[in-house]
Amino acid sequence: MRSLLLALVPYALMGVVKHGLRPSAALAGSEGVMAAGFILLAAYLVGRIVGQRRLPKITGYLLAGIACGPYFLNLLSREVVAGLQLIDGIALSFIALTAGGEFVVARVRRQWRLISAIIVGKTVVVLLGVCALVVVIYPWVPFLHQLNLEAALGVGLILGVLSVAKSPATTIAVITETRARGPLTELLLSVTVAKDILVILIFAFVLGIAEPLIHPEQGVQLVHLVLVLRDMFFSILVGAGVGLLIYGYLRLVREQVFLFLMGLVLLLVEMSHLFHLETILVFLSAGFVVQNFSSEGGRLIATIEENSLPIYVLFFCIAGASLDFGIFLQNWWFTLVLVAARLATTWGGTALGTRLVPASESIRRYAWKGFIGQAGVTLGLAIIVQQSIGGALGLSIKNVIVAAIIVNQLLGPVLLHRALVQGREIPSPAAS
Amino acid sequence: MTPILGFLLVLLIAFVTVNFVAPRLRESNPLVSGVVVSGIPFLVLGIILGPKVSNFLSRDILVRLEPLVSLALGWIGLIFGIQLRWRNVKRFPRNYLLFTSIQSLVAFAVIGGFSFWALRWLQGTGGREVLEIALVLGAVGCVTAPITIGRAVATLGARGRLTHLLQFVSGLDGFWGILFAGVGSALFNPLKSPVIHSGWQWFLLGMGLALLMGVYLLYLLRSGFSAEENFLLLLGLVVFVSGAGFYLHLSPIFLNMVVGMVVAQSRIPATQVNRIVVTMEKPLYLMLLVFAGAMWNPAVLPEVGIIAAFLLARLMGKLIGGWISARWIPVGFPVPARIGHLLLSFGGVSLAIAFNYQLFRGGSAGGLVISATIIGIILFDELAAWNTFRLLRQEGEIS
Repeated sequence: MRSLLLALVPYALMGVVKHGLRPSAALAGSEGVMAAGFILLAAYLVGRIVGQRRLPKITGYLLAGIACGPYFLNLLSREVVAGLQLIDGIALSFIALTAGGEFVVARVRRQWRLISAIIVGKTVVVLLGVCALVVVIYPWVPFLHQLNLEAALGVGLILGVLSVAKSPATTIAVITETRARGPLTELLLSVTVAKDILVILIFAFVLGIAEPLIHPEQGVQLVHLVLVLRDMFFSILVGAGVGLLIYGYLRLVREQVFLFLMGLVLLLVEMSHLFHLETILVFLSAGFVVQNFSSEGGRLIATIEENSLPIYVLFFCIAGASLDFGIFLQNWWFTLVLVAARLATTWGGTALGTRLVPASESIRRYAWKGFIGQAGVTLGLAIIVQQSIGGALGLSIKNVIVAAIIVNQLLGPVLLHRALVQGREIPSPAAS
Repeated sequence: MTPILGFLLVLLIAFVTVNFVAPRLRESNPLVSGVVVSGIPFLVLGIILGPKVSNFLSRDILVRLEPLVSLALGWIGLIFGIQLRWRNVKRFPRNYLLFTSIQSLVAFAVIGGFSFWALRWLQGTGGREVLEIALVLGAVGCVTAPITIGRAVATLGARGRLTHLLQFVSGLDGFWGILFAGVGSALFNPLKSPVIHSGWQWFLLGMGLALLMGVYLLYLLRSGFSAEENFLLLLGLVVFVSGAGFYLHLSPIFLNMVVGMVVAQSRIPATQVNRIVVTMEKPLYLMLLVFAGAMWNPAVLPEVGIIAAFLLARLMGKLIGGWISARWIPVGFPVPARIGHLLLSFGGVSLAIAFNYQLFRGGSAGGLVISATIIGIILFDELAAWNTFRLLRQEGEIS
């Protein structure tokens, strides 16, 4: 009760300032600053209450964002949410840096056969499973029923490959929050990071095949794949350089490390727009280089973990506030079918992988729950789909993907948290 | 250059100076190090980077970075407020507080009054706007920066009763400047709201909001959160209060000072907050200086008379204020009547007040206040240092 009252104070104040006083002409940008402060307070306190109910705090941040967003309390208007999305790039960069830093070659080497088996099993089963489902039910789907079988196959392939994608942000955030440690956690991290790179490649390949199926006048276009490969190569190269820079700083300067990392992240987020770099890949590589080719990996991860709380709170709350429930309601039944199919095929694919290569019981039983969350990466790919397919169909596909992300984003952290609790990998205070 | 890269550039300059240049200079030459962190080089750098010279920080970038500046102002207000712990103030001789307040209030009256007269006489206009500018100039001018006496103590080993008094005065008289700036922003608030009908109601609203947030922060800090969580909650609260102040045209420095003052009265939370906020103080000040330099429009020739009047008024205000306090307020030892010469230092809080006004008003009025402050910093910084070192040496407090 006390926690709830504490959490309600910022909501009440924001409501009074914004809707009660209704000042005539606020200064440009002022609402964004106020909203950022409000989010930090309000979302964190809700996250804490949710955490006390044995759920991940990030679910609380997401729920706070949804509650304050334009669809419910409207404390965060659409414009303010759009203005705050700069934080996405920063948050994803830190998450990628952590993910790269958690990818310890020596550790992965012990489980590489299992990791590969799960990735292959999951990718094949999810991609083909979801694709098959779409091909079977497309005559009943409002925006697909006028398509022929080839085009439906193309749409199925796209929805299938996007179902393979998952959110490294959710995985890293929940693991950081719960301080989980153990073989299941290591496996989830490794699969998530490796698949994050792989899914971009597979997506580019599949999109190249799917486009001519939907638009027969186009030939098979692997130009996406070539472009993606080029961007990935340069991103990894730049990331390696950034990793060396971070290592040099950690080794020689050692002071104000987080401020230095923040400056570097801001710089590279900006530079990525100019030079078509994949920010996530740049920081994944940088974290990987620091962790595996220097003695400073531990310090890097510790510094990020000590300072990342405000970034996670802002990132997930804004993600919640920007979820478009209008889109979900337009396609709700097809979305729920897709989500259910993704859940089932993820379970099946992981089971296949753990059957091919022997795994511990906790991995066999619970690992699939760690692959459900979806967020920024999938959203980015959905926008590419919309641009590539174009027209009403492109928009509808994107909308369905966004709607599925809404459900998966709410479901993913809860299931991952549950898996870590069931696998007994959360130290007792965090588990409670 | 994008706003983010512009911000990074400023951040980089502040970061490199605070962490690398200043410590190395301090080892080699204490006096040079004092000049480097005193402000003038950063103002000049800002001018060079700004739209008037290289345009690295273009006008568009500066406008888009204004929300970040409001955040820095809020942080400065909190840092100031957190130092105002009543129990600590009471440890000093009883009349120190009265001495500080009288000299500051006299300086405010002289500077504000003289500036008001000069504005009316030189511009031939009167009314609310002139009164508002005069009030802000009074608030800007009545503050003494602690940097000069800090340099004397840190680099020249100054110690003694006068040094002690100067540290107290320069540490506390910013309160009056921030208070007047807060009152000014409320009384001359241009916003219209269906529920607020007068300036005093805006002021009471701001006070209420700040007091409530202060109590709320105190409660949060006592709720057994971890250090990471406390940092998050403090950051969220300062950002929220600054944003709300900016949104409602109420001074974020004033609002956060009140928050800081509420928290300061409780020992454990105040220590926690102090540890978090104090590390940010110097980089923020240097960032503000660079922004001030970049935003400065030196084409103020028509206003040069007003600026000269302000500078003269400040000199007179501080000298008269110091003389009255030295003459009428006993502090347990004879204070030299020319103590005002030692209170001329101009710095962070004054600049923050001027910036606050520039953000709210902009235009020629904001430009005038910023110009007056920048020229004041340039003129008074070294003058104050020279006076302080000379007088303290004469008083035998620097060996």
